[in-house]
Amino acid sequence: MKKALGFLLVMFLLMGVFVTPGVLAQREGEYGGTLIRDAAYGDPENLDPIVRGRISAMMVTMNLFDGLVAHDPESAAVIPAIAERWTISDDGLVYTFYLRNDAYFHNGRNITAHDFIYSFERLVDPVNASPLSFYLEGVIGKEAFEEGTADNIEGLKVLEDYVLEITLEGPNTSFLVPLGFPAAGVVPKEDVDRLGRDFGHQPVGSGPFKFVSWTKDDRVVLEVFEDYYKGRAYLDGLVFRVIPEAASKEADFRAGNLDAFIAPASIYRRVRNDPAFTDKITTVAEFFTRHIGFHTQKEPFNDVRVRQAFNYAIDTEAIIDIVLGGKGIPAVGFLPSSSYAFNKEMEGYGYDPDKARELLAAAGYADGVEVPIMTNEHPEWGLPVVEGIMGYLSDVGITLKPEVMETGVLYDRIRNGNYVSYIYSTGGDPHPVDYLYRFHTSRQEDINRYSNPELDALLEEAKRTADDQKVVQMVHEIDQMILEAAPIYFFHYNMAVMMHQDYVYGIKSAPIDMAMQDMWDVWMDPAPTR
Amino acid sequence: MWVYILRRLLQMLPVLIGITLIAFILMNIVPGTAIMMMMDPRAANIPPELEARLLEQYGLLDPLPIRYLKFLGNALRGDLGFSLRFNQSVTKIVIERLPPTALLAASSITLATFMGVLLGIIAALRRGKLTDTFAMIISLIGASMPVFWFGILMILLFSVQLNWLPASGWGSGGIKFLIMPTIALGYGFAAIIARVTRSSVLEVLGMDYIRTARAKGLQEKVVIYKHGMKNALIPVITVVGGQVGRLLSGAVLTETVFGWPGLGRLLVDSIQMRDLPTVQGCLIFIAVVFVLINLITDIFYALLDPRIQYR
Repeated sequence: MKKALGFLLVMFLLMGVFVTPGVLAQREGEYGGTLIRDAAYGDPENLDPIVRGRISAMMVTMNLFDGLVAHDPESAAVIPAIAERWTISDDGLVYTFYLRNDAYFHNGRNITAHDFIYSFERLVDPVNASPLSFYLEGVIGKEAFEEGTADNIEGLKVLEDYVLEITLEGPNTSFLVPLGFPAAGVVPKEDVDRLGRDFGHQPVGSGPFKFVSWTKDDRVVLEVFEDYYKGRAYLDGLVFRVIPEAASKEADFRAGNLDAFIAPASIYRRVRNDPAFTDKITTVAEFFTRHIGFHTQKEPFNDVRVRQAFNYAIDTEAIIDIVLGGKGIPAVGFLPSSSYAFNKEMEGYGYDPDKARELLAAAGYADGVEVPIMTNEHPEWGLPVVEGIMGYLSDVGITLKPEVMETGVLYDRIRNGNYVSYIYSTGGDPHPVDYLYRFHTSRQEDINRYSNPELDALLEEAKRTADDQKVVQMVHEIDQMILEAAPIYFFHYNMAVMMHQDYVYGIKSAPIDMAMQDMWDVWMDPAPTR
Repeated sequence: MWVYILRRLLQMLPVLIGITLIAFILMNIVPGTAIMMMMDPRAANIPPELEARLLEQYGLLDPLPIRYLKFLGNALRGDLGFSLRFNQSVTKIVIERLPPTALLAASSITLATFMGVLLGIIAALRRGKLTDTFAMIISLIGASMPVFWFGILMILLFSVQLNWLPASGWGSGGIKFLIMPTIALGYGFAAIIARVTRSSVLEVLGMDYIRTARAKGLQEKVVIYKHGMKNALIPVITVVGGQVGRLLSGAVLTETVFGWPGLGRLLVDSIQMRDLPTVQGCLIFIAVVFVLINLITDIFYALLDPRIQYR
């Protein structure tokens, strides 16, 4: 027995020796340094979190503001933030949040539940005309407050200084999700009142970084907030640089003037197999499904067989490899593979031109069919892709007629239903039910004119269901129904690529949008000399 | 002269009304609204009821003539309105872009004028010789090379390979940030100025009064620089004046390649975001600059050539 114990002890010690380097590789981060990254989608335009719903602004404001909850950087699940815990009543209507008592605004004031009431009412108040006021949809009294018939939102209550209660009109499985975005972040009333509209240009929040300066279309400079409730961030400073041209970003990165940036396919194609970049690339299957939408109420796409034929006709993997330089994960359904509710058993259409011809013939298009398609010139979900798939489609008898237009026009025409087919990229919702809800009849303008009462009922039920496991099962069923109905050509889930210097640690595979990085625990080896 | 200047300034009013009216009509014909662009169109959408309310709140549902008249009324009082994109006063936004825009315009026009006039004069005086051919080849390259491509080439050489200069940014006007954008933008204009200078100098040197000056026994230097240049430079000033106006209105491609926060990018981005008030503000500024630069150019003519008088 003693021998056996002695042997085990030696083994543990040896394991210790061999395991240590791995443990060291995950050592505590170094404090200091200013990280310079790209403002991936251009200038943020306004840093008041309730003013802009664009990722260009949110990627900055998520580091300036904190809410009751946040999103786990890699799974996108809802995690505690200023609310360290919460309870949900059995009927799913009452949420009680227990706030930390050590959270502070950048102006030094302690945050209480009253600040959240103020911030939520500010978000909904029509005077502020926020495009994000729908985040609080379903909270009792929200509409009355919006219409001016109530002085406050009835469903928001302060139980104690650090306890907040929110009551909903009906159960909503994804209610907490939007509360993790910056628009639902807490803001200090005194600074909002003092600054007025300028609050969006000199924001004061409670996040891990505080605002220093902003040169429009050039850079936003933030510095570490020492009194952050989770402990100060590793970095001393954070700079978002606006560099419109990808080639210039790459040049600045290679010259060491940029520490991290979102790389497009044109760059990924060149660096993906280059050993010099192995430690400098982080990727993720982002919550964006690139697709070709079919108007399901117009010919020829009012016939499911034509829609399925379209899916069978294209060698998606080849297109991803050749046109996108490998920057994409073939879509096997609508819900991206990085979602926790993704069904790993799911099988997409696959490339089967014979089957495509068969389906087209059965649908009465044995002699072929001409299909107009709207496209922009986006290199990853625009004209180059359309040109790439034209050959495959003409091989089975579908002749694409591209109509090239600016993205704004394209989007407007999608919403108005003024199309036969279009290529687009859509997504961004962290919750799987919300992600798939765009196929609900009530959201026809979002993606295509698809309507299926059975699917609607299932979506509505999933939205009301509190049991997470049950929701996941329902999501599998919903995604399978969408796959079979083929209201779109399932192209790929965007593989987002962040390039970062090898002295930068803690960049996450963030599926909501790779650009939306929580920089609190990102750190660098001793600051590089620039 | 003062009456002339006043008249020219008054002529600016119909120009401004015309430009803003055209922009207003075009921006309203193009599908999409600034409300739609407040969100990332790839991600969550604004619910239709909320969008309708916001459109009303921002006055975007008023009849078009009413909206335009409101804009004109406010503009006459010096209020260019509020940007829907930045949620900030348009005047403030445009003023913020002036330092980078003016700096890049001034540096590149200085480089272009100096280089262009020098190359043009040398080429003209050495007409038909190797120097002429060389100077004209340099200017031909400048005139034919796209700014975008030339900019990227410079970035690859000076930023990536040699690591001498930053690839992008404006660095609050730091000299090392200014060098490449200035060369990229100035070179093309230098080429145009060089070609105009050369032909103008050649034309003037063939004039009777130059022959007379030579016949009087004046030194060649005096003939060229005192009698020739003054007249030869009038067309050059026209070209330079036009370019200054153009540069102050923004050089979108150069600004894009070098991440320069100028007026050109502001205008193009605002069009894409359907931010009509900012588009109008930029256009008014550009129009005023064009008219003023043209006026200043005309005044310069009079200084160079006493025969020109303005009434």
